[in-house]
Amino acid sequence: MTKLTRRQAFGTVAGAAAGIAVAGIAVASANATPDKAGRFTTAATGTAAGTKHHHTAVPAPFSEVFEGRRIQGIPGDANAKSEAHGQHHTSATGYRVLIDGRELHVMQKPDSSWSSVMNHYQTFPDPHTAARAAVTSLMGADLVPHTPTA
Amino acid sequence: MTVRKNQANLTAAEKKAFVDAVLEVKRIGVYDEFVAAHRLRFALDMNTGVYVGHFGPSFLPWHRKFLIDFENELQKIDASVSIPYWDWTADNTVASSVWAPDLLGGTGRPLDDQVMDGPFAYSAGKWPINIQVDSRPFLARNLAYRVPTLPSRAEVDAALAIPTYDSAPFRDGSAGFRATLEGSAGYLSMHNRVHSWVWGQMESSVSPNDPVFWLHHSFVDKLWADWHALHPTSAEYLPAGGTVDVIDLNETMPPWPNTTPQSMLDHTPFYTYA
Repeated sequence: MTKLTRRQAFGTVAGAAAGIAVAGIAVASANATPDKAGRFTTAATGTAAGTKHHHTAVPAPFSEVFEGRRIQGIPGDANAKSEAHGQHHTSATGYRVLIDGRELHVMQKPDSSWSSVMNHYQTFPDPHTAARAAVTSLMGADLVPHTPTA
Repeated sequence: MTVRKNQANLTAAEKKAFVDAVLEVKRIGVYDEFVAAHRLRFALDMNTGVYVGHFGPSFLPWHRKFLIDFENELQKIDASVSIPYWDWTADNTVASSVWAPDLLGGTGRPLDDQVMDGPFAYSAGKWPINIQVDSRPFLARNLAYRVPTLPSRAEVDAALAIPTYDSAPFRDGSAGFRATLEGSAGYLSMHNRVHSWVWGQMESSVSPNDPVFWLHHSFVDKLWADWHALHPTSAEYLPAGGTVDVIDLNETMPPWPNTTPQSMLDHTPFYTYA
């Protein structure tokens, strides 16, 4: 849906903020390990508030088939320009996460925990955990290009 | 004067009027603007570290204004309508009236989490999911799946008892009423926990796709009003000024050009709670 017309109100901010958003997007995914009941056994992390050692360790790459989906974690800005959806995401970490080749937008919070657009009200210890959680949430659906500032 | 009521106390006619207004706002395309605005704000909050709609003290006034705007759109359709609130400490099971077919419909089916009953079921034809993060065109829920229980009244009362609105570093996990109510501890507490309890779109950055978003945030907003009444001598909002990456009392909150936390402190010019 590109014709969001009314928002003079919303639109102003959208335009102004677009540049900032692109500069700050960290693309990652996370996975959690569901138990037999389908619940996640990997506890979401939530570190102490205000800790400042953020964006220190770059999470390791990963590539696996999880619940029938190929999930990949790709560290580093060297990969930030590859295909996905033709968007270029650069960030402090440049970490990208793909589910079946489609980009899952992930973010790293100042407390170094991770979140994704699929599971926005949870945090995860790393992109791999966030990717697995997203697979579980998708229930077989695909990710769509995420262009909130478009 | 707009009076927001507990959804559990709505008459059948009030429920129908609310549902009809929401469906009409959806039909004319305005509803999805709110979904897109929320998704945008969440992305900016997450990616820039400038916390406006979430993770900072303006979480409460930002959503207060967001709900007022939405309520205004509903009232353009039907002036008698207001946003009900869902007290998830009391109506805390999948059997609650909020999930009945005459209001929001129930949980999703096992196959794909698709909601199959009520006015917002995909099969009813009036609720396509257009603003997406994934390809599902239907409203999805899995009530009580991710977390089995909703926050308790005791948890809410403990948050309400905190006399300080918010404190440095003014982000998630800060000490104070705001961050406690928003929820931290891996996010699976309080306001955040409710989103995760509902699951489906409610767990994602396009959470307003589920109409329960408004009833949830209406209750969160009521708790803010309750907190204010309990602590009349506390600073109504913090920080007062000069805080980097945080909306101070008299700073404007994007996307609105003239809305500050100060302008949102008193809800009574806009509505009251019954």
